[in-house]
Amino acid sequence: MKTLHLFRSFFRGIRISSVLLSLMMTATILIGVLTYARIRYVTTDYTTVKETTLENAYYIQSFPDPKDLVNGNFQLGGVTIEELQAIEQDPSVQKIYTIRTANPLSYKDYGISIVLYEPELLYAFPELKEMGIDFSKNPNGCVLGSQLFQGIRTGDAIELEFYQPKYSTASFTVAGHIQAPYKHLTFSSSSTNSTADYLVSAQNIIIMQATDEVISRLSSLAEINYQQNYIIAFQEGASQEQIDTVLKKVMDKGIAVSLDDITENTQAHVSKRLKQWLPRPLFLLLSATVAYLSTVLLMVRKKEKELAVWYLCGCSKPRCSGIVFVSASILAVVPILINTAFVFLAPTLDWLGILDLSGFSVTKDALLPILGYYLITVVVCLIVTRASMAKHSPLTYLRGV
Amino acid sequence: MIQLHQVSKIYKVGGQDFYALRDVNLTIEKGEFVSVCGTSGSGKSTLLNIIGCLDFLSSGQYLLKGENISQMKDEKQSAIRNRHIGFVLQDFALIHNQTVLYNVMLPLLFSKMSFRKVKAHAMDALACLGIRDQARKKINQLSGGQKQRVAIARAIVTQPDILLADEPTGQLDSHTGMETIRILSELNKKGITLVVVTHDPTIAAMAERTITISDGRIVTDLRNE
Ligand SMILES: Nc1ncnc2c1ncn2[C@@H]1O[C@H](COP(=O)(O)OP(=O)(O)OP(=O)(O)O)[C@@H](O)[C@H]1O
Ligand SMILES: [Mg+2]
Repeated sequence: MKTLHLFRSFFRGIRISSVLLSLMMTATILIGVLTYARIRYVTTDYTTVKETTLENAYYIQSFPDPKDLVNGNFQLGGVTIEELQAIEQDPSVQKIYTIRTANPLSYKDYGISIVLYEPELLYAFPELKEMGIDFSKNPNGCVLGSQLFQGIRTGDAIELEFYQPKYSTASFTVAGHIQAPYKHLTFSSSSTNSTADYLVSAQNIIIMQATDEVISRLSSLAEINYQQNYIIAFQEGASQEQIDTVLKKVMDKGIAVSLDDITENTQAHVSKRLKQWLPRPLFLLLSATVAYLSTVLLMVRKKEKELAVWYLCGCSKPRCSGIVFVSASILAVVPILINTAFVFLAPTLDWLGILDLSGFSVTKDALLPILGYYLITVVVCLIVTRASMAKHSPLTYLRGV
Repeated sequence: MIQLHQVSKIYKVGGQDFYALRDVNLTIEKGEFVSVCGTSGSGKSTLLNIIGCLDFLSSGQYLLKGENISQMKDEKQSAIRNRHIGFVLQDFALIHNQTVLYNVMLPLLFSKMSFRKVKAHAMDALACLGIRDQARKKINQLSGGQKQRVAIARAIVTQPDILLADEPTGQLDSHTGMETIRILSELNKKGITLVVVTHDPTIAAMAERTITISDGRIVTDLRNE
């Protein structure tokens, strides 16, 4: 209580500058968080593909004819699943990874899709597990990726509404959640200049494993389709000749790009983005830090005569600088708290349409850099106040000002 | 009460040692009223600061109530300063943008007293100096004499054993100055040990004992009758 009183009196006369300083710090850290989120958005795609365990794999991208689209015949780039299964039997092929979708369905009147992963896909792309796509405890459950499902806990059951061939409902056990912005592998888009973001997508989604049980349940509830793109993984020892022979069979409607090439392209893409996005926020952060420190220093200076009186009244020098230090930290705590709240509330704000965070991954990982930055400022602040107070001893102030 | 033995205070000035105090031996008994005189720069304030545990001595020994101050760390010295010593300085050393009450409460905020009692104690001290009704005023709304009363109230709020006054009348007119000295000597009569630094011979003569300092040394130590 006594100490509280002292803190309150410490801010007397420097209240406005303190508030302004806090506001500036809040804005700067917010910019930092958003920059982090933006970078994180592109690096998630990159690491997902880069961390693949597949050694020798190609992303087969099809560019369907408009004709095919009209006929509804653009699954797997026009290759039938039977043809693909035949190709998979080739001794040089290790496995073909396809992704299916189930449609249409809704949850509480919101339309949403189900993406079906073959269980092996989760081993091929271990980053998926990091994102929260993990069926190890519940192979036939679903992983939820939407603000729609906020509050639903792992282990709960959710009821989904289906319309094909007729309206019906079915419930599924929740195996987990993906963090906003709900990144997941989709294989849904294709480009001649392939980067990882064509394999990954960020949207509201439900993910399930294509186990026999799930497929048989869903096939009576919705329409299941294959995504147009897929991955062919070759055996490690497969020769280029063998690979080319296989690829030739699927390439007349698309192109094949190796995952290594995609990783390389993406890396270039990401570093270009970093060069674009980083310098300004870093500069801002640096200037804000300098401003913070100099304001703290000025405040300490302004307060030094007062601190000399405290010293006269029996407050030891370490205690004086302790109080200054804590007060300065309080200034930094407010921006940190506001930003932490932002990180937690971002998915909701985005969902409610208050903010548009598309292209940003505001995740709880952002808290780590925030805390890191906070620690650094606090330590530097400690050093600066200590140095200032050592230089201007209370006695010089008491000797008549 | 106060025992200084061969105490020196050395400042480094341009790489050279400067003795602000040199081999000072001094004993002050409990309840004494001592005045300290000397020319400007002779070391009076330095002596007072050392007695008041505000400053560290360079060599020698200082015993306060039998405790060896010279070897204590800042924290302990500060606790002693808080508990046993009250200061009254020439420029009052008050916090100007705060209230009278806050200023008088300040030493108690650093003491072990619980916060509930702090305010009542501060009000008592103000009442003692006859300025209870000024408690809510800001320091910069007070006259010089009132400020000095606030400073004295603050000095005695912890009920210290020793009151140290460094030219307490320096910024006051002679009438208010004498008033201040009268208050201090009243406090001394109630048992507090009082050391007053002064240029004023009249004030010096009011003390039981007058010490004169020159160039950091005690040159005379006289008992007044
Ligand atoms: N921090 C310091 N560094 C160097 N010299 C100092 C310092 N503080 C005091 N001195 C010197 O010590 C000497 C004694 O100073 P002190 O303040 O004790 O004098 P004083 O007797 O109180 O003078 P006055 O009557 O003017 O207040 C002076 O010569 C002063 O210049
Ligand atoms: Mg002096």
